[in-house]
Amino acid sequence: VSGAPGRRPSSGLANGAASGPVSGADASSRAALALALALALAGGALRFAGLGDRLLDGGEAGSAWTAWSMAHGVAPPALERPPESGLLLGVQAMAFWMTGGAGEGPLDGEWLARLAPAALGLLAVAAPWLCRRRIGIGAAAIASGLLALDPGWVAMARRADGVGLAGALTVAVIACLIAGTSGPLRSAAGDRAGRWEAGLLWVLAAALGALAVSGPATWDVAVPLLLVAFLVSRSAGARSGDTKRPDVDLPRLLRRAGVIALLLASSGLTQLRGVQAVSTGLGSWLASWAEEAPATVPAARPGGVSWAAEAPILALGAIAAVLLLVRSSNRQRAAQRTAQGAAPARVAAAGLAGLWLAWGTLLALRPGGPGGAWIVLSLPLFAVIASACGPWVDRLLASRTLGSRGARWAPAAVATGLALVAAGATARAAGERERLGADSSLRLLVADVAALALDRSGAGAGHALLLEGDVAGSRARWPDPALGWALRELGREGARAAGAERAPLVVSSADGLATLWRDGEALGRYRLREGSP
Amino acid sequence: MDGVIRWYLAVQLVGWLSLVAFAPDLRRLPSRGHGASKTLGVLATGLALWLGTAWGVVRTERGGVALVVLGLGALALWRARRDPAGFASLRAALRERRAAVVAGEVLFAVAFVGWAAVRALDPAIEHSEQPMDLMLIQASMVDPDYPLLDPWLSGHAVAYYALGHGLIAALALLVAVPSEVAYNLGQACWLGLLVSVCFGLGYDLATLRRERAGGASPGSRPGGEAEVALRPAGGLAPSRGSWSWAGPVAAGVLSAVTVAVAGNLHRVAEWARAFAASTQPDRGHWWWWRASRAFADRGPGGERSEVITEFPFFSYLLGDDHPHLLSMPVLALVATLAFALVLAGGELSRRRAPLAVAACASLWLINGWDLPAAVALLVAAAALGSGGGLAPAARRAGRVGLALALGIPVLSLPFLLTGAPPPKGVLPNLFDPTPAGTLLLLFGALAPGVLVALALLAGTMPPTRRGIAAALATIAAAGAVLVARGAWHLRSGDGADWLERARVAVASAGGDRDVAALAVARWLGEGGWITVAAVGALATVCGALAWTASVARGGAGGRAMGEWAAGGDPAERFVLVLAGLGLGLVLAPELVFVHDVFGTRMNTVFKLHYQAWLLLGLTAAWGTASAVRSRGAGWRIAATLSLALLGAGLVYAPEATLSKVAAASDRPPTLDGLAGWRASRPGLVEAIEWVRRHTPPGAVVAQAPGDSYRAEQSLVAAATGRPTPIGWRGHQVQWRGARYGELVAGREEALRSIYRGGRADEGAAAEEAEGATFGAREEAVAEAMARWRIDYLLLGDLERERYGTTGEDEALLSRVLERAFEAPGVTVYRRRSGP
Repeated sequence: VSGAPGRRPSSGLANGAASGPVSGADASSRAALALALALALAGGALRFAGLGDRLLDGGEAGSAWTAWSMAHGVAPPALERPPESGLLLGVQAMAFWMTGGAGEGPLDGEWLARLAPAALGLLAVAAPWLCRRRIGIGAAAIASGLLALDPGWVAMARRADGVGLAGALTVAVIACLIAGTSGPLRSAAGDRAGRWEAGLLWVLAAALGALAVSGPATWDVAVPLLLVAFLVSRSAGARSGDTKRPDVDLPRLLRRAGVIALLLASSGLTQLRGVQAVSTGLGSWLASWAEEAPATVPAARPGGVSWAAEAPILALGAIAAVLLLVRSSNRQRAAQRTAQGAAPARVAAAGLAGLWLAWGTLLALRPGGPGGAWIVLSLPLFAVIASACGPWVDRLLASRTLGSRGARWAPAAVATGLALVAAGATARAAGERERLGADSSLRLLVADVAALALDRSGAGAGHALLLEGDVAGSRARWPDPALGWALRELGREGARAAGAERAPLVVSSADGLATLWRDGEALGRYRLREGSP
Repeated sequence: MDGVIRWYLAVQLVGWLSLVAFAPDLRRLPSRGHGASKTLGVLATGLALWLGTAWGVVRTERGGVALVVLGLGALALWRARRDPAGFASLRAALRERRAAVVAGEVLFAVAFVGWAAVRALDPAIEHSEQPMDLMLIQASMVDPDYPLLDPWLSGHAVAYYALGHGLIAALALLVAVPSEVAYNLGQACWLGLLVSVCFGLGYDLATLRRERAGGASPGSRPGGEAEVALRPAGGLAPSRGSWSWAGPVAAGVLSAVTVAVAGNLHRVAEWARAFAASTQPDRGHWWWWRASRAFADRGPGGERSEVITEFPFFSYLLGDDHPHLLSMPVLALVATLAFALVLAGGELSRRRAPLAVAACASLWLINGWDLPAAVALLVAAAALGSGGGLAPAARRAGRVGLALALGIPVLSLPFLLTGAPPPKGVLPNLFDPTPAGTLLLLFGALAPGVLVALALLAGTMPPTRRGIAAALATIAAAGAVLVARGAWHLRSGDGADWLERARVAVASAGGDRDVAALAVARWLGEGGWITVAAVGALATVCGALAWTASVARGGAGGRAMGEWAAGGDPAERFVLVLAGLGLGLVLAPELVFVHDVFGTRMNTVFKLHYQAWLLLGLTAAWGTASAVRSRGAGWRIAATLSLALLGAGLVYAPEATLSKVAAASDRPPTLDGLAGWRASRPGLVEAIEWVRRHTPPGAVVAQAPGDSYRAEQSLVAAATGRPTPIGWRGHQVQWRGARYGELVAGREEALRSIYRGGRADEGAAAEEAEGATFGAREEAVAEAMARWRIDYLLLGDLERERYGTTGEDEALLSRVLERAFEAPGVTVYRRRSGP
């Protein structure tokens, strides 16, 4: 993330000493605002459209089922993989408690379960604008656009697990850190600057606190975040003449973050399972380095193929990163030859990017699955792309015409970007279709159960619903979270109707995943019959 | 080997973090508590995890332990940033005391790796109470919530102090080793911890003594202490320049060896007898066991009544990870904290109080027997922290006592609500005074060192008559109170029952004596009074010296007394605490004993003598080391004698270790405690592994009820942590007392019914047995499974043999239940329906 010496100070964290507000004609500001709104709209549409259409899968349902149970005063199920994101559990419990979480329509359970990652994902789209004065409007726009449209980030934001939350909050923390070292604002006189810094500190504390309880992916991003914090503090210290201590009241920040984390994970101190989830998440993260992840859904394709197909932007970013690093290295050698010395901040930034990418690669290769590797790998590449293309957008916005040389490339660039996004989204959709196969099995079952049990509300004449061990969560076997979630209401009513005279509807597991994926066809995972178990 | 390295690194990590995190609490110690830091780290990690789990904020799982370690790291970082000068001082002190640091690290590594190697040659968990300890470790590893579910009594929480096992489980979770390996690694680690703490304390005591005698620069002295140069009795030899570290290091090593490696003189006596008879001592099966039963009491009817005379090395050799073994490093840590308290003038600051409270509370949760001794150590240390008169000493002691009295119950509240029931009371020791010769056999290796230490202290400051009178009165009063308390208990229901049984036993033994006459005859005729008189006299000496230390004011008893009491060698005052308390622990079971399920003083002697071994061992090592370095032939002779008897106490360790290991060395070395079972009962171990992998932690896996000390019984529950309806019955009775009968009512019958496929008992009427249709039998099995919430049923050789399960019964079980797993000789059935 760097700007070249002598270049107009518009982008790059490292050349902060020279950076300043982009010369701001009103028109340019209006264009930037329009761009921001357009990106927010696009990001929002991609995240919220049809959010509740797909049933929660096994990886998502555990947390939602637990939160729903807590919100309804039912004993939470004992799951093989307990909820790992305290933040998600806490927010879901609050959401279900306030709305019921069972209704049809836009506020159905699936939608509510996925609301927090989607909403935070949208906030992540807006986060780069927080530091536009530091990195430039162009770079902020590019970064925001990438976060809004990248299929990986969209998919993360549409899943009810902690990875999307951790990704969005990581972006927020980085944005706060960069914005907090924004030279012009820090030097601005008066209450406004003070309020800005105080507010920023609260936002940073909130983001840090929420990130701390986001789940296993928190630990994936912890290393890069520490690197960024180190770099930013050095950068800030270099400007203030004190190279050791950043101008932040760290204990106060951490205290605030701790309180916020506790409140979020415990749904306002109403439950402690969310707090416990922090240790579960850390345990899961540690285990991911040594153990294979349980395959809730079998992998459709080898991981590498999937990544290349679904993340063309990453591939492009990787190429750009290599080119920029080579260029940076050449310049550094040239600077040394001319005895001017290398720019230490740029070297540090390059080192940071290298370490970051190495860490991301390690995460992607670990046996327990990539987890938050997508976040770790994509963010520096996004930063590189934003840094490289930001000045171009700045010039475009400043020119107010489409006749300049740079602007002639705009349609092609936009078209290329959209094509890449579309390609990634298409590839990802193929994977989604496979998930939907499992979905349909569950949907059919739920529909059948509902149809057969319609008369249960009659005066004692209906079926009781009996879930056999695998799916019910008895102490003998681990329950199936997806089914438990899907039948949560029926299960509750079934318990009430247990004394019914007619033979119960018995739901049990079929022979497992082997049956499900035979010859690439999704078959039923569940058996439904009437009679004794 | 991989596990050994990971375990070692984990202990190092928490140890060094603790050293920084708790540096302010231990800053007055010359070595800054380096020796105790590993124990402190392990304890801080385990206790924080236990508290977090009990209050529901973390779960006992790998992530929970990692989170606690991160918290410890954050605390260390915060402390280092908040007090950079203190951190710099810590680093400087560790650099200056690098000899102690290196020696401590070497000792820990040697003890840990060395004992791990011994365990690798003899790793099996297959005798005495080893399965029970495995059960508690495994339960602590697989049950993430509080209270810990009892694998040997499904549906109920563990009613035993199990934090020590929780500490091992925490490390095992952190480094990802299974419980059967953690069992052996934990034991090796605990030996390392014990050696480290004792070394550190011995080093600190010797260093202070040397430096106060003028052997070191003022800059190296611990901060905050008034400097009083005095020359103790005999005088110390001058410092030897660059080798000045050698004396304290040697004293530290001597402390560690005395406590952890030396043993009683039972084996020496056997050698002596054999020598006199020109034969070899017995080396038969488990000959080394006899040292732990060096003598026996005689019950009121003259029957043999077992007394346990374990010492630390025997416990390690036996290989049980029992509470008394697991608590000993923590008791030594409390001793270190007590010494730090003495160095602080007896003032327990608000900052230091939490650590002292946490350490004592931990002892309650690890081994409740140790709590009184730990509290007494800290209170006495506060009283003797500095002079100034009786009132200030009492005030300091009262303040510490109050802090502990308030803090320990608060910290242990979850255990108070769910843990073991309190003992019934104390009984007077009417019939079994220990003969003086027997006591010498038990503590002979330490006795000369203790006498030398007391002589050194008395030489420094001869006890006054007033002090002797006061001490005598105090000890007599304390003894009288204890005996009166015991006599009072005889009036209660339980005590009266005990007395009645004693009367019956006396009567049935014949003769015309009643209980009182028998008691008098035993005490007078067998020399028990000599033991009490001798130990009491030594305790009186300690008390008299303590009186001087706490009461005398400068000028009141002369200049020397004033110096000694006001600011003299705190090491000497602390040794006084160790010796006095150690002697008190020896004396106490001569007067009273805890009324437990056995009704004898077996456990009281065992537990109190065990603690006394630690305290008297440290005293003896200090006395011996001081005498070695003192001028005068008399001290040198005393030191030689002391070393000789200590050497005699060291005879046992190598001989017994080689013998035990040789008897078990037909298997390849491994740390897997189930290795023996893999060879002898492969089906059972396969079942264990299957249950671990395929069942949730709370699933009830029924087995045949177990009998105590039968390792193969209830083993699946012990090794998997999955509860069974009835485990080792004898131990459950010990833990739960009379309530146990109510808790298991109906379970035996249910298991019998299930394993017999719903058939009636053999003795039932034939027509009833014939009339039982298959349907009725199936229903009976299903009902019993549901009634006792049994999720899985294990059918092995033991069950078949005990219940006479037939092929037809098994066929019926297969219809009612689902056959989930099969291995040679073992079948695991699963209940079919869910809720």
